[in-house]
Amino acid sequence: MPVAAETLLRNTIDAPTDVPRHRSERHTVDGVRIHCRTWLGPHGDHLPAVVMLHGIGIASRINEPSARILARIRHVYAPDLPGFGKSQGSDAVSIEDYADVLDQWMAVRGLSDAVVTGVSVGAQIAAAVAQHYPGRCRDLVLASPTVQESRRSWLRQLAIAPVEVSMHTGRMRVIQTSDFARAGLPRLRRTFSSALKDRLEDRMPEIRQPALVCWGNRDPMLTRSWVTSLVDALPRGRLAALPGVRHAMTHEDPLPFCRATLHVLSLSR
Amino acid sequence: MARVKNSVVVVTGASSGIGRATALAFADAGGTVVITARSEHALEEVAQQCRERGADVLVLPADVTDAAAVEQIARETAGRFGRIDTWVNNAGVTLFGRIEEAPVRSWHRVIETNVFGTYHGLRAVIPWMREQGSGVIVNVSSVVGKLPTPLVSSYTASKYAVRALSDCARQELLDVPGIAVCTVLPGPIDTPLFDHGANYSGWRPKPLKPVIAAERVAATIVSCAAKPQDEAFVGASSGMVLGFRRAAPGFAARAAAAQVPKDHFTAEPVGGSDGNLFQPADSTGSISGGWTRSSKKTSLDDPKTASESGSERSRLRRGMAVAALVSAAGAGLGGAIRARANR
Repeated sequence: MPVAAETLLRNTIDAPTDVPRHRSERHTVDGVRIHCRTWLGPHGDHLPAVVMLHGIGIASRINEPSARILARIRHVYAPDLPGFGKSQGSDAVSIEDYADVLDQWMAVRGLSDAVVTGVSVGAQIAAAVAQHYPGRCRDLVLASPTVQESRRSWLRQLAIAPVEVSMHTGRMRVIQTSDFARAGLPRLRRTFSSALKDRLEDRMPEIRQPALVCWGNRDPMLTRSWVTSLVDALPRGRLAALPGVRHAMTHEDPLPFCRATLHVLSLSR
Repeated sequence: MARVKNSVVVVTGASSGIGRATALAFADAGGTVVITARSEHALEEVAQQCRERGADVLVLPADVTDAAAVEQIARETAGRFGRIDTWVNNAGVTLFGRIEEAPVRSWHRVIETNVFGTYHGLRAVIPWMREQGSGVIVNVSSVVGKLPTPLVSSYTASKYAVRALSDCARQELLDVPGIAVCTVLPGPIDTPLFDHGANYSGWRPKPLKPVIAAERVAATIVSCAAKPQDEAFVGASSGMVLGFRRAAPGFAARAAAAQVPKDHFTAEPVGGSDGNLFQPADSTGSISGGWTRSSKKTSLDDPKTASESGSERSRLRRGMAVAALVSAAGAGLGGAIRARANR
């Protein structure tokens, strides 16, 4: 049955578009209540689940449009990291801290051997999960992976950020405003400081799983040469250069992101 | 060209002629280009030219008569680039010869490539475009898709069918306003088709005059992608000939039957051949067939100068004036005869 499902449901057009609404789940991990939006797709029991990680400030709602598409084929879990969205705050602020929390949360939730995706800073956390907890991650998808080596300073990031924000849709701005307020400035500052210190390129050679790097050519935060260097450093890396796609692709351009992800998953088996 | 920049375009039959010029035109306009044809080595050369223009390009060799292979092109394109914005059904072959003299399998093969190929393209791309709610499908027909032409019956029939397929697809897609289906109807074009085509006529064929550069068709296809229209003619002669046919259909048919055998062939005798019907041409392909003066002195990389020469334009203007007079006379004569008959 799993073989049949993977053979038939290779990409977005192969499954009906009606997907049940997500449900909110809360699990306690090391004394912290972690919130997760969960979509249980009709075929999900036969295929590896997808865990989608958000970036800084904007919590799991950034992944909602993509999750709804992926859930046509697989179960999708989009947790809020500690201190973001509807999850409780904790002492975790670094990329490694968040990876540790996710490992524990996946253990509590009974998730292993999943497809782990992350967008922006979420991609840094996803890469850390794949590196340190390979049993949790069978395929890795890095969407708009930050922070580009040549732009690793507050000044440079603050200079580019307005360009990126100007490309956001109205709905994205609404989510961003409310999620920024929930996270609070101190957590945002400390988490982003940690993201700036994280050397994603150094993790790449350690990641043994098949990995897809998705980059939109309208992303002002990242250049093609940066994502190409990441793919070159990955033992089993692939690049999806997506025309017309923006930085926050899981929310703003969900269909190209999902098609590229499902395509690579269908090839990696 | 806002709609073309950052778009993903699939071009079938991209190894030579109109398809090759179209791939390069989309690359120039900032598109990501997926090129397909049977000949991989010819495609690799086109891909290199696209890359030199700064475009991302994917080479997917396939025969459009194979439905599964065409479906795989759509799947691979959507999977690699996340979208399919424009799909150009261009792959086409031809056959010169009388209906009763050309081999059956050759006649069938022209229909399989030109009609089934277009159908396979439509069938492959529509689900992806429906899902994304947008896209432009460009089907390359021909002016002979509206004008019966002797000695190229299979090609003419196929181009009528391509036009009909376009019309049907447009009707079926009315429920998705973001998808457009365009039919491009070029007149005689300077491509290698005349040398690559199957030929059982006994004589070496040549394009009817005035001959238009393939780059002009490519420019029309790109403009259809940016601003779709149901039907787009390329070359003033197409409109002129069709107007002539509307005004005096019987006379036009007899004139074509008399002129085409004279004007469509050189005096050079050749033996029967299936050309590129069943095997792709050996060469790495080219845009031009060398039928215009400008093509002989123009670099392929310079589409702007690869258009008609001034003398060709003046000949075209003279031809149009004569045809307009003949049309008017034909229409007047027809009207007088009808009026007399009704009396």
